[in-house]
Amino acid sequence: MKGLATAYSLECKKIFSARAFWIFAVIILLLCILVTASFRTIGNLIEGMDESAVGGSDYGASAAQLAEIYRAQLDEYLAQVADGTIERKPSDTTETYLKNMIAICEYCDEHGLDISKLNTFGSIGSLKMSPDDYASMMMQIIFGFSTIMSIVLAARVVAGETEDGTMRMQLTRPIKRSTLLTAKHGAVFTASMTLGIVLTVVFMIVGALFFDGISRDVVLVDAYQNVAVINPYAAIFILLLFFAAMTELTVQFTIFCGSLTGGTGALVIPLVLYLFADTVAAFLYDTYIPFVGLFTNMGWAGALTPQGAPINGMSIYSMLAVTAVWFAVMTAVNYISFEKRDLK
Amino acid sequence: MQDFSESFSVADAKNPSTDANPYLCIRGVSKVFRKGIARWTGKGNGITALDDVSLTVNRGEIFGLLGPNGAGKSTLIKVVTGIVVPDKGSVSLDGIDLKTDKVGFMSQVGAQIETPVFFNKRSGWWNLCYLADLQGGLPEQRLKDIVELVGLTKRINSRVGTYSMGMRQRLGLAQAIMHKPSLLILDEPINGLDPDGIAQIRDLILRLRNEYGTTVLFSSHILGEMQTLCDRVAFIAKGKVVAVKTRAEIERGLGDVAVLSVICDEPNRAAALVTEKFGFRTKVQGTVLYVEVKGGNTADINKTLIENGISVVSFSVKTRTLEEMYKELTK
Repeated sequence: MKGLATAYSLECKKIFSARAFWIFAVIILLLCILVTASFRTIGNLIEGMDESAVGGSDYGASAAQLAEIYRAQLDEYLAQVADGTIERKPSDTTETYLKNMIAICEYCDEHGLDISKLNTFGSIGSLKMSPDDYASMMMQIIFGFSTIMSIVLAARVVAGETEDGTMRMQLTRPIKRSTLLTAKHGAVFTASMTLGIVLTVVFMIVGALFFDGISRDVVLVDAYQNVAVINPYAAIFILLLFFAAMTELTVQFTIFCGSLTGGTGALVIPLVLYLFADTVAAFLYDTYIPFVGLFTNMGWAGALTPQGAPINGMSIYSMLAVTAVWFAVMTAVNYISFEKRDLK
Repeated sequence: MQDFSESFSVADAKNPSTDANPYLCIRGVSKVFRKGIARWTGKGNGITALDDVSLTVNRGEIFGLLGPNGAGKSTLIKVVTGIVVPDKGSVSLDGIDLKTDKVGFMSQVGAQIETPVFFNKRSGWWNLCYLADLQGGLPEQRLKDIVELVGLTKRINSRVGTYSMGMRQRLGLAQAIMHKPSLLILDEPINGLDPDGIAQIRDLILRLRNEYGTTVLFSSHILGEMQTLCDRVAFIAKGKVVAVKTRAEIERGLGDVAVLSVICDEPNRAAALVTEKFGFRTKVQGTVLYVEVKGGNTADINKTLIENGISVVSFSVKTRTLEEMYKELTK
């Protein structure tokens, strides 16, 4: 354990003292400031927009009324699908979205909650930028970039160091290979999460200053219409756990790609899958492939948020089971491969 | 100090029990480099880097590995340092098996393998501290002393990316010896060094052995260095150890074979005489007779020629060089 702790602290020191890490962090920071400024401007611009927009929970409709509106929209949609007016495509998530909205509204109605005082970490038809909308958007931006950073770091410190020969120098020290891999893995995870959490806290404070703070409880709904209302800070904590799981999957997946293909593959494959796979699939086949996301990291987002299950019809439990098995396979391959690998 | 005058054959080397004080034992190590799926399955064709290599290095000995490029020297050193995993065989140091107790094994080893690779964007000092911490931590003064010892004090705070090959070698040596290892493994340690640097490394190796009893395993292409430094040398070719010679054996071996050049008035008759009486191979070119002498007394040949009425104008002996011996053993 002492060897692991030493190696871990050294790896952390190495990453946090790297100029590239800070350049990346500053880029994310600047981007967040830019986005914040844009939201602020757009928020001001849309103040005067038509408030009769359908489904505007900020405009006084009750939960029961909104549920009726969504039900009517769902019925109309399903009728159009049935008579062939609308050709339902694989990427069409309208039904799931409307069902989620209905579930939220029914939940609020049943529990006597004022839906206008709640937030979903995604708007319920609101055109206004609420503080919580801002917070959720910033978290998605921050952790989106943290994920990219975790891919770059993991590719660099494992596959990259193996290729450039510096791993050889490290392994001539009295340290087990598995210990070194665990230390590097842990350091990449720590660096990515630290960046994500620090920036999240910074922009929570920015949000509080510019958008009147975090005010409302949060409605969480998953792809299976399970609804819960929780304290906003608890929601942020849950989201952080969620992002931690995603980061861990990303790091493990990046090392896995490096185990199979070497340094270039470790960087390119996860980045391409993460950034472009869904877009390319949607463009070419008019479908999204959350299945790919499941194997990198974002499949979780589909199941635990209102977007949809990672694979159509897949339950949340089977999705978790598949993820767990896949994680175990990646971990085993990574450690066995690292243990047996001949270094340059 | 050990008495290394005892001769060792390859067969002896395979049996550590015949060695005086075995410290590093390499037993039956084989390695085939495969590609693709075969790398995972361990079956199928590939490049055989090591084929049933067995060696022992005695405590306090300077042991050299000599062989042409691609012979397997570096692979053997990488196996001993645990960065290449052998298909078969075992490596142990003072009874500690590398496979089962890598931490115990490597805590006694300092290694510099091929051209040392460091984090180029960091300073030499940063790299040294990083590796020292990975080792478990060393006092700062110790590191400063080592830096001074290898002659890098002026440039230690510069980025390694700006170092010359010789400076990298020096830093490589510093990281290898900073924790006072009992076994020092050096792979081509004098590549890229100027003559002063080579002399410093040579002196350092001898000093480590003489003052601290450090055992040294090193490979080099520079035959003269091997002959000067090593107590024993293993000749490696095509992944096999073809011979293990002590320094005394090498010196004796070099003297054993010589080429005799004789300028005389009847070279053909002289050739026939030498072949008949001594059984040596001869060759005549003009008035010069060449004789390949193996373990004989050249003075006897001269005497025989004169006794048989052959007028000898010139008589010169050229002994076999280490290079010739190396070529002969590794061809």
